[in-house]
Amino acid sequence: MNARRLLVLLAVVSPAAATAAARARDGGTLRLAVLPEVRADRWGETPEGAVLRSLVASPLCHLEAGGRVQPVLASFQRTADGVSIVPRASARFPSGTPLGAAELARAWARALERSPAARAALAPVRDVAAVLEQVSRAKGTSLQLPLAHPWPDLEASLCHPALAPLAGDGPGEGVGAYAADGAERGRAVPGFPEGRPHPDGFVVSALSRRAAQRALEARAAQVLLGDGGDPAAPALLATYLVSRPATRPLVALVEPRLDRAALVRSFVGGPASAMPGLLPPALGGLDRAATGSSPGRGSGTALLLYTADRPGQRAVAQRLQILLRDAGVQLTLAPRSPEALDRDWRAGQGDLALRSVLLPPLPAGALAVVLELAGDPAGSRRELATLGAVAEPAERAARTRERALQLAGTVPVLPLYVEGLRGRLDPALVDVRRDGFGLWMLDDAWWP
Amino acid sequence: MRLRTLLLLAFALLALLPLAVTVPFAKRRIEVTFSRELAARADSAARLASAELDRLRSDVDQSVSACAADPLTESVALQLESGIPPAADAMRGVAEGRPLTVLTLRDASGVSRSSAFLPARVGDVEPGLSAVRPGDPPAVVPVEVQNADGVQLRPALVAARPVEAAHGAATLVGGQVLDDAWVSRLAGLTGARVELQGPGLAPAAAGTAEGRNVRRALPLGPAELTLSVGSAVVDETRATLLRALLTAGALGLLLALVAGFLFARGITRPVEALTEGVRSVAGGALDTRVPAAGSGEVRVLVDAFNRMTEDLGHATRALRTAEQAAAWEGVARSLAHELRNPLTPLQMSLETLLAARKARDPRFEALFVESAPAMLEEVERLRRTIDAFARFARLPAAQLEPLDLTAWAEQSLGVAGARPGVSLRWEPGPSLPVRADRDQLAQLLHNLVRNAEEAMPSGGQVTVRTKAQGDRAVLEVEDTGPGIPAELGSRVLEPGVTTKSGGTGLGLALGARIAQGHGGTLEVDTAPGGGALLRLRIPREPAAG
Repeated sequence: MNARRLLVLLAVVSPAAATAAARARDGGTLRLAVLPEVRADRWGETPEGAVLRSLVASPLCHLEAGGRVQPVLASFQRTADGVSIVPRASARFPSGTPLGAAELARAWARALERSPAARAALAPVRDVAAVLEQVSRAKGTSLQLPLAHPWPDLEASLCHPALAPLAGDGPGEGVGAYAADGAERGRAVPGFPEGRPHPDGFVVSALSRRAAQRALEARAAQVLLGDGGDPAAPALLATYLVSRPATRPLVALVEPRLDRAALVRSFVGGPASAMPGLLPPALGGLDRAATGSSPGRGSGTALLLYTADRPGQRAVAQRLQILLRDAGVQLTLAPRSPEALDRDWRAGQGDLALRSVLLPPLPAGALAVVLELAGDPAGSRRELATLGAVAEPAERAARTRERALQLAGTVPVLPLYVEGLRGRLDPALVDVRRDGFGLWMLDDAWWP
Repeated sequence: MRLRTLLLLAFALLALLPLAVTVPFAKRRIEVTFSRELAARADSAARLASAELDRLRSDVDQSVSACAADPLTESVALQLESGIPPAADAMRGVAEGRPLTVLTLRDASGVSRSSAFLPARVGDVEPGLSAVRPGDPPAVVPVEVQNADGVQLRPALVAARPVEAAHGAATLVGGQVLDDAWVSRLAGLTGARVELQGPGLAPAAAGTAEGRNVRRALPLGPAELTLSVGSAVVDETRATLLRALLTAGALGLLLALVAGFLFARGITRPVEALTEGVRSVAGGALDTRVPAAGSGEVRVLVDAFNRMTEDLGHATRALRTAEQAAAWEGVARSLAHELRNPLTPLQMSLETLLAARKARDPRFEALFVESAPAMLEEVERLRRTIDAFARFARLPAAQLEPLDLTAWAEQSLGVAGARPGVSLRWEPGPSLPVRADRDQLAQLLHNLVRNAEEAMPSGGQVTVRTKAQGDRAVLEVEDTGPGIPAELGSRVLEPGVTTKSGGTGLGLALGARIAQGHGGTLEVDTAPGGGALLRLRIPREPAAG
């Protein structure tokens, strides 16, 4: 017990040391069973996909459940006009390449091209594309992000998994506590800035739902991703039906016919709930009063883009197809990969799109994502500037909720439902923490 | 039309006649036979389709009953009964491995609670399926089928069964969508084009039916199944048969024509030879003979013709000899007459003079003086007669040269003039280019005009005119005399025939010979006023330029 106390004392002195101190012992292989759709989430855009990816591609920082930002790969320093980000010297890609400011800038420039969450997180930065371009060509040690308007939540927003720095164009190489050893294995990285993870490595097995459940029950796997739910985790994977200005009448046909609760119950399942407002209940999103309009009828055809590898989205897309058929509209479904969906939608393809985004656990940051999905950069800048000017976090959150309620009928974004992390843990697994996004952090996990 | 052509046509008609009778009849029989075949195939296809539907009904009935008793179904139904909403696609596990494409678990109010194939309808009363009641035999109803392109209504054969474990809280409805794949399979099974359509239903079609179609329709609830058997294969077979029939007919016709041609040639060759022979005989070749050919009546005809031409030749030669003899007799008679007439007074004058000289008649001198001129006159008459016969005999061949008959006649008449008491009237026609001997033609015109004048001793009018008649140039001399006696007619053109007491009868005969020497004729006619009309016809030269 004395030794334990000593370790606790050391933990107060150094967070890294504290983490290490919590471990009973190093070693062992963490066994994860994942469902095929989790495996297919290459960019870690769902909570369970983000958990899996975070093993080898850590975000820049951890946003703790209480809202505190814990730097991991870089430190942040507020400057007169923004934030200065200095990557840690020990933050290195598995190839040995250090994570410099230029690498970080390049990684974020690529993230802006594929992720609305990344665009929303960096939306308050003035001329972000130019800044990233400039830094990516320089050999500086820090990345200066000048803000277009006050934005107190910037550091917290930068902890989003979508901004986890990656070395190449693909989802391959990140800076994580583990280095990928093939597609299904990872080995602990001793020099990881937060210190070596507790398990020596991990093994991922892609299994069917039943097989994964059996593996967990038989303790052949300690973590199951894709099935079950963590009721304690906030549900932040929000799904919206996004339309274009010209196709908003289609949304007007859908909304009166839409029973979000039934939608969640019958077609989404898992740790999901209806989301009548632009912000999820976990962020105090307010219910928008029902319009009470009677279902109208339309005609013609429309094209709906949705993400192919997400069974829930597919089922919801099919339900929307049925609802619009009842309204007289023939809806064609166009499945896309997440990056293709983002690219095609921004290129003007499709009349409607189902967009699922992992929202930051901050109301203002979440609204920034919603406004990014709405596709109105000028309006978004105005809204965020107003909200960013409120310095007090609680007041800012309250103002954000009110504003979200006011915007609900005006932006071409129809909230549908929100999902939490689908996963189950072996009850014997110890020290699995949960961050502000509701994502498990498995670095310190151990088991007797 | 030639006999050979007529015979060929006759043979062709004879060959066509049976074809014309048999081909339509055979064609009709073929049409009827193949139409029956087509109808039989359509009926067979309809029977096969009905049997396939019966089999499908049985399959659906059994499969849905088995699904209703499936533990998984019971588990889902019990979950429903206990108020826990099952997964929208929970029935998918029940449908796995079963020949079903529709499987929905609905609650007591008819709302779909779980669907293997249309989970997107969960929470709604599925149109179409709600009409199917447990215990009813499988029926065809419209069901929604979902794909990426949208939702379509398709006919489906479905049955409903209660899930016993749920105590009436759940009913299972399942069946098979009669989709493109089923229609395609049915098309392959029946060999027909299969179309499945109905109001509001997405149409499905498979198979081909080319050509004229024979259709059979099977009502299937809201849809209609149409099986069309194409006549393409039957049409092709029928066309092949008809082609063979027509080819055989055409070959028969060709053979008949060839045989007919050969046969007709065998028949018509002697007939044509006979025709040619007749033409030759008509042209004056009386020694024409037709080669002995053919047989039977034709041979008899050829022999008769040859005998006839031989006889005709003999007769003609005899007639010519007789005519020559008659002509010579006429000439001799005329010559004798012409010679005898002066000889008799000459003889009498000489005998009178001799008697007076012998009797020393003192009137001798006076008689001599009186008789000598008369005797000289008779001698002169004898000389003229002999000259006339000499001219007739010595008429040379005509020296033809181009001249205008009208212009020439006008010029000749101006020189000639008429004797007192006779007026000469000239009626010129158009320019008539001919080839003629000017001297002989002048002799002819002179003879004709003098003949006309002599026919009118008490005076009258001689009209000379020229005109064109077809390819002939005509010169007419018409008088107002008594005309030529009908009994003489054209005989006046023969030597020695005359109506005048002092004529030699050679003038017109000479004219006829001149006309003949110009390739023409001299014709005798009666003028409208009753006088004589002599008409010269000679070939007209084509106009210059």
